[in-house]
Amino acid sequence: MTKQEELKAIFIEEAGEIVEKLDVDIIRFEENSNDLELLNEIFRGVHTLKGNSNAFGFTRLGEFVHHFEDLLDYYRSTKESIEENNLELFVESVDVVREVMRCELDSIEILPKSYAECLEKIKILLDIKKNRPKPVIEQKSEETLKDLAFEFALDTLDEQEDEQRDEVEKSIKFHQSIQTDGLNLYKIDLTLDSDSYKRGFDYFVFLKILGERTTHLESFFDMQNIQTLDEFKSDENSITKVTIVILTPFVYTEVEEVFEFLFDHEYSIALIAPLVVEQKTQAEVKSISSLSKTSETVESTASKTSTTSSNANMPKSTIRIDTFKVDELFDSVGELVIAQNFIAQSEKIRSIEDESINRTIETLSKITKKIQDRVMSLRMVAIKDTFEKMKRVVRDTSKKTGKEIHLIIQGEETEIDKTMIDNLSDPLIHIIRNAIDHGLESCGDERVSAGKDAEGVITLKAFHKSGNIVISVSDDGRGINKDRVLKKAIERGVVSENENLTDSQIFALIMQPGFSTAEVISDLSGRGVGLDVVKTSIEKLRGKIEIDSKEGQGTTFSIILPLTLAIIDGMLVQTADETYIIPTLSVVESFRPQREIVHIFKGKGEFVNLRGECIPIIRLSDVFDLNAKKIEAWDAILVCVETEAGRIAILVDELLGRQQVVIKTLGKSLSKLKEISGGAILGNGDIALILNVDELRPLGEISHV
Amino acid sequence: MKPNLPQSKKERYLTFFLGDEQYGIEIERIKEIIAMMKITGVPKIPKFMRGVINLRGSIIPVVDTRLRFAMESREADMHTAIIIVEVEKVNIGFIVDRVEEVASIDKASLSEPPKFGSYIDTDFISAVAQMGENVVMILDVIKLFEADEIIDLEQIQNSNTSDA
Repeated sequence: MTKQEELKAIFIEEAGEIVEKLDVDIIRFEENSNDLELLNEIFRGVHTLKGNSNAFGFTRLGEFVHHFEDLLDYYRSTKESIEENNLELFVESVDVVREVMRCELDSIEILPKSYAECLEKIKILLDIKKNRPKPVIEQKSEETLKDLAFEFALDTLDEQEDEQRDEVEKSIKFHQSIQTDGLNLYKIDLTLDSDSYKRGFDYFVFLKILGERTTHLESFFDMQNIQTLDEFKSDENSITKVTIVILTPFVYTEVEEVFEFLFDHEYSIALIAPLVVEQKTQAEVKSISSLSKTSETVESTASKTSTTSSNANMPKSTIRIDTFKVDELFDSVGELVIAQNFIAQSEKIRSIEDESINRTIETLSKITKKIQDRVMSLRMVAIKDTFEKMKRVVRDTSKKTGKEIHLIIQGEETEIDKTMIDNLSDPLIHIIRNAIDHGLESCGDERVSAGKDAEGVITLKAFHKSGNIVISVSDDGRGINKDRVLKKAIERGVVSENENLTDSQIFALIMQPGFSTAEVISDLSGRGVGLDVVKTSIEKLRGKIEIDSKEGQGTTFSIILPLTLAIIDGMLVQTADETYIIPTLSVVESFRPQREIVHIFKGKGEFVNLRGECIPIIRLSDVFDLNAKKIEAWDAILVCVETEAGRIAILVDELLGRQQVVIKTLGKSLSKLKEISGGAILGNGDIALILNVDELRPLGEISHV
Repeated sequence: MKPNLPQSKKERYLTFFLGDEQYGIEIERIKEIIAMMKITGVPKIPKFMRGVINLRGSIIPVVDTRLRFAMESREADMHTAIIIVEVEKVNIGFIVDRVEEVASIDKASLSEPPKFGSYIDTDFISAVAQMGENVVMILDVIKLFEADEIIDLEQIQNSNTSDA
């Protein structure tokens, strides 16, 4: 990767995060549009995005966020409350930002229609806002708008100057608004000569000195005259001008002292009068108009509000780590645990019978366990962000369908494996949309007549349940009509008529491929992908979906996931002298069958009749061509597991226990084995193979369903 | 590794014995050599794949090199070793009878493999080198696997399902 590509990758990652955060913030802001801190937060995000996108030549994105920033800044600085319809525009803008960013990243030429529309709306709104309350700046704002329009096309010097002046004005206004007693506000223009480096000065020296005793500092670099890389001379100053706005306890002479070694023409210091609260508007106008007279050429570089926000709420200190590195650490810790187990179980070491050694080994095993837990927790993140995203989904779907919805979120602190979180959004979005679209009654009246509130309730919940994580989406809608589902399923030939299905089995039918839920539950059309896609993607995460529904009362989709992708809870079984692991998640029950309930059909295999259900028996020794002496089913143990193709009973010699195991791949060359999903290293260092129960089929391929 | 090139450059090879024949593998490919250890059988894999081993926490497939070369299998003894070789970023263990030494072989002394008189398919052999009285057959581990059904199976697997 070249340096440029590397930077770009960082930008993309960062921008993605910003947009994601914007998404969440804007929704929170919509709920509480008086939260100025939140508005600032949004502004900062947009501001950073602007700087970054222009730096990477994403000018279309740059232009849009630039205007968006102006609009946000207007509200931020005037503290004017935001009108409902304009709030809508904000939300729309964040959408456009996301869209445009995708276009930029994929180098798509055609921008979405909303881009131009939304941009136009922002411009008009800005125009209105800037014109109405302060007629004095009218002329200036028109200028601004004019130059904004041209800025990313062919910008002329003048226009850029205007733009930069605008930035400085903004900064001054901002600093005036936070100015307190004992602090002075200065605007300093530095125009160092090109030989200044040789004299030992550069702008940063002054920024550093000023920074030592200022509470707020913002600098604007004019980068216009920077030469291209070929012509660039490192010993020559090509930054012609820097404007610095500082808020400092320094008096004028103290500030001047800083620059005493410069030529007179290289600096100018202006003390900006503090705002008097009663005359706020006037003062602002005055300071701005006085500024407009001086022609400055400056450009904003610094992220302006970082200084003000840092003390507002102490952010959690975090570092970014490549997940690959965490995985490596995880592997090494796995080795450590095994080595530690070896020591702990070693007969030789045990026979030493020395108390201090035993104690040390005890301590070692405790520490190892602790390290293992902590490394595990590195991969875990709270599901909060994903849930926040869902607010947006609910909001949008609510708008689209015209249904009023109240969203309840519970357990957003629940932690879940990072890799799973990434793959969880899409299925969750799908289920939520589905719940709103099909689950809830189509109009409020229908709900009221059913004795419910007109407003539908969607509940999003995350919680731990017996070693798994459950994420559930519930609606209080009309529920699933079992009979209709069953009828449809029979029509489609998914199930046969005389089959005896439990409720949950019937509900599970709606996740079968080609089983359009739309036709079953409502007249609203589907979205191209059915619930079967959701099911597949959850299964990829080694999870499963359960549906529960009461007609007239609502439906609950529960996604049940293992705590982490790297570890499964497994049942250790032994057959033909080999140890295998069956994922506990799929185990229904295990039992030693009575002779009477085992049936053998010639050429068709064996079945066990479990409480009226006929379950095929799978012998691993047959599936895997193992040489083992055949034992009768009633002398063995049957482990009944749930698979895609229905229940099967795996015949094993013995149950060895239940254990959490770290899943390892068998390496490329062996992963073609469909029946085995991987291997795990047991405490004694032996390897046990993990069975992929969905691929275990009775010999002769007897269809169960 | 073109034996015809007139470069006089020494390459280092790990040499080992299978029966009476001496073989060599480029030293860069060798990750490590371990003593014979417990091998867990994996069902439904080619005969010459003996199964998997636990190499300090990672699971690595092991090839019985004798079976691969259509030789008789034999009981492991104190000399039996597993050579861990990296083939296309995957570690694979090869069971050999005895590890001999790391030999420096002049590129100039490498010659084309003979087309006859060997136990094995000459495709696996990239060159033959004279070393004192012995002849060392330099193995092309990639070929060893390209010529292998494993690759085919892998492709099938890739087209069917992606590795979770």
